[in-house]
Amino acid sequence: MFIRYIFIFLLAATVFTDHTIAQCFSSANPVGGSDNLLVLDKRSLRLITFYRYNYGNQFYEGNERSDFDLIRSANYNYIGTLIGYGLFNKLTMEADLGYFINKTYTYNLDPPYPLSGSGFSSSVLSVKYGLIKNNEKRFFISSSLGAKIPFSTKPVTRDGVELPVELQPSIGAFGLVFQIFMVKEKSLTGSRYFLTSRLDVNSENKQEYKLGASLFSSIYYSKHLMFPWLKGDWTIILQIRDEIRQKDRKTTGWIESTGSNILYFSPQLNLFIKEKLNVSLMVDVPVYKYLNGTQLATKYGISLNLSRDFRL
Amino acid sequence: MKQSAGILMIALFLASCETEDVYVPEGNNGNNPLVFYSLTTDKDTLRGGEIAKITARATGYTLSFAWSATAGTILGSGNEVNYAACSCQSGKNIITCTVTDRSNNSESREVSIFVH
Repeated sequence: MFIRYIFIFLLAATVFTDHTIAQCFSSANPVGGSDNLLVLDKRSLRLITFYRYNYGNQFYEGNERSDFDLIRSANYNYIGTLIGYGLFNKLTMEADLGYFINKTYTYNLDPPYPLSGSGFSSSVLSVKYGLIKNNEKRFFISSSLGAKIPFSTKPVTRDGVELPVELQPSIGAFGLVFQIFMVKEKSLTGSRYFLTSRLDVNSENKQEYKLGASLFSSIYYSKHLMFPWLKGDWTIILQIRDEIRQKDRKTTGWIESTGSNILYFSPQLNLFIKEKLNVSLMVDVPVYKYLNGTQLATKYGISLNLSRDFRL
Repeated sequence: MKQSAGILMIALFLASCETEDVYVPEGNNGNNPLVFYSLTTDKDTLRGGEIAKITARATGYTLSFAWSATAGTILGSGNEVNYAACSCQSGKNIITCTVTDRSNNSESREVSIFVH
């Protein structure tokens, strides 16, 4: 039962970690969401597939709306896969891969001009270790370290035009990802509390562009819905997430209008089908934003996840 | 009879066409070498969000145009594009155009636009 709820959290965590286009709505740290919470049992395989849609149509300066209107709207569609394998009881290997079906900006010209990029985002390969496992007190801590590997270091072009950074599926640079997860379970009430944190650090790409480091921290509350009239195995998860992004940098100096601090509220509904398959729907709503300079902000995001464990 | 005469005339006509072997020096179309004359912008100063038209003038054989910018966005394709200044990097932004002909000869030029 506990493992299943960790699984649900995994779904919640997987998608929140940023597929947003850099620096708010652009490709900043298009992380794959390698948030497989806690370690897997030895010789267990976890397979997650998810889809995400993100939309924005408003520029912000600081925490206020801006009248800057170069871009009418922006959206992306992203699909990803996360595979985890329990190498030993305290050690899990993970691979996180994803693909942008599209990243689109519609420019406010007459007529409106859409510009789109697509392609594989950076993958993340990581190792997770179980630091604390207290079954009696139902308290667990695990930590992971991973490498971010770009699919390509060459920028994507369309019809001979190099796409801007914000529409690149990957920044084309290597990086490191460090995560920590804490879980506290209250079995009697069917509720759980999770605390996670993820730090991404990036190197410079071949165009001498360096994405700023990012720190994502989340608090989750998960509750199994046990109503007599409710059929099926449902869980609701409420997440509050803070995303802090450092400014991007080139050799010429810091890039203005990059870097932000955004607070999200992300409710999620999960259904566990026949004790095998998890289906989850999550909505991301930013409740507070502070954006350096002038940036396009996310209005909302929607994610759908499917996941399953296999015993090998 | 008339049909046969017609066919014979066509055959005679085709036989009389002269073909000429034309030597094309390796590396370019002998009659149309790649020449990249200019890369110009209609505005050399922009505010973030404003747009400038950038035009590449070049001659050659089956030309293709590749564009990039140190910041901002290139909108469109071909020899004439729009450049949208972003609010992300003020100062001198450089737009580069590389023209390539059918024989893979290429030439690049840059134009600067100051964004404030």
